[in-house]
Amino acid sequence: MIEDARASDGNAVAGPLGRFFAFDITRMMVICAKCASESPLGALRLYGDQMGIVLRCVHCGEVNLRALEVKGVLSLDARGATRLILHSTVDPL
Amino acid sequence: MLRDWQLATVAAIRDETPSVRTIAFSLPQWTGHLAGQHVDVRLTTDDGYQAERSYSIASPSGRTALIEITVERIADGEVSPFLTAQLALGDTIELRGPLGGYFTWRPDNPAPLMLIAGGSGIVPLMSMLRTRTKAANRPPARLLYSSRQFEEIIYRSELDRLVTTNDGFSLNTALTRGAPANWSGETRRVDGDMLAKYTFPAAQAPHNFVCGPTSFVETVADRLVALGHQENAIKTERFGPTGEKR
Repeated sequence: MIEDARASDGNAVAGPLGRFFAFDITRMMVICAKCASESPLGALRLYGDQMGIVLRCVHCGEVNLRALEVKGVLSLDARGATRLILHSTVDPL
Repeated sequence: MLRDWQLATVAAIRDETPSVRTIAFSLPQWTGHLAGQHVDVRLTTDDGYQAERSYSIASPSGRTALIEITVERIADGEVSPFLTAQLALGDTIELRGPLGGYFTWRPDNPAPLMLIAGGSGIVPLMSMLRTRTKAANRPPARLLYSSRQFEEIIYRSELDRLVTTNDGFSLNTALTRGAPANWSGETRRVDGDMLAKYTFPAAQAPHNFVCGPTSFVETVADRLVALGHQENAIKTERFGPTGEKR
């Protein structure tokens, strides 16, 4: 596991990043491009602030997702993830 | 799920500890929430500067008229000092939610419920316990709660009451910075031995929820894996020292 007390996690981006999606993104499974581990987005390590979001693999530290929002336009860089897996189950409530 | 900001009106305020306050909001457009979900709170200053923070919902799940958040005052924080000291009954603030579907628990889940909290990480876990208490069929549940000092234990009297109901809930508390003379709980940080002693064995296939500061959550999650729990049976929520969460 990567040790860094500054980070929180992907749960916190449900609001700022999730508003661009029609589903709850914290349950989306992310497959790491470096170590191939599979984690829910909510469990990834979060760096950055309200403008730029960096989500890293809990196991190897690889940057899985980068998100940048400028004036309501979201740019998502997902080259650190080989796959994103979504479940079509109904959103909570 | 409501993705837009809505106006929340302060309906009640309750001090939990000297630095922790619970605030109940009335939300006309609230669609209900799951235990473990959070809301984002946005403050805007007169000159337009905005600050957003996430706070876990403390009240039980469902379509309730009011929702509660419990906020710990971070001395140099941008949002929590306002929420815990200045916000008054009848005031309105901007709020977005409910948010997050990963760190959630539903009362129809029959698996043993293992809750492990560090400090104000108790808040979303309290929502789960309160949701469980309202449910018809309650799975066995345990809470292992680490606090710095006795006076900083949030929801102390309610937790003590829950233990006396004998409905399959048990509580173990660890104090890391000194304890009262008559203290019968643990007096050190949560470690592998403590987890082995107080958590459900992996063979019972419990669902484990861990919430607290980043280092606490990392340690606990690692030790749970070492005790044989599947990674997908361990759900985590972390907050950093500057994250001002909860």
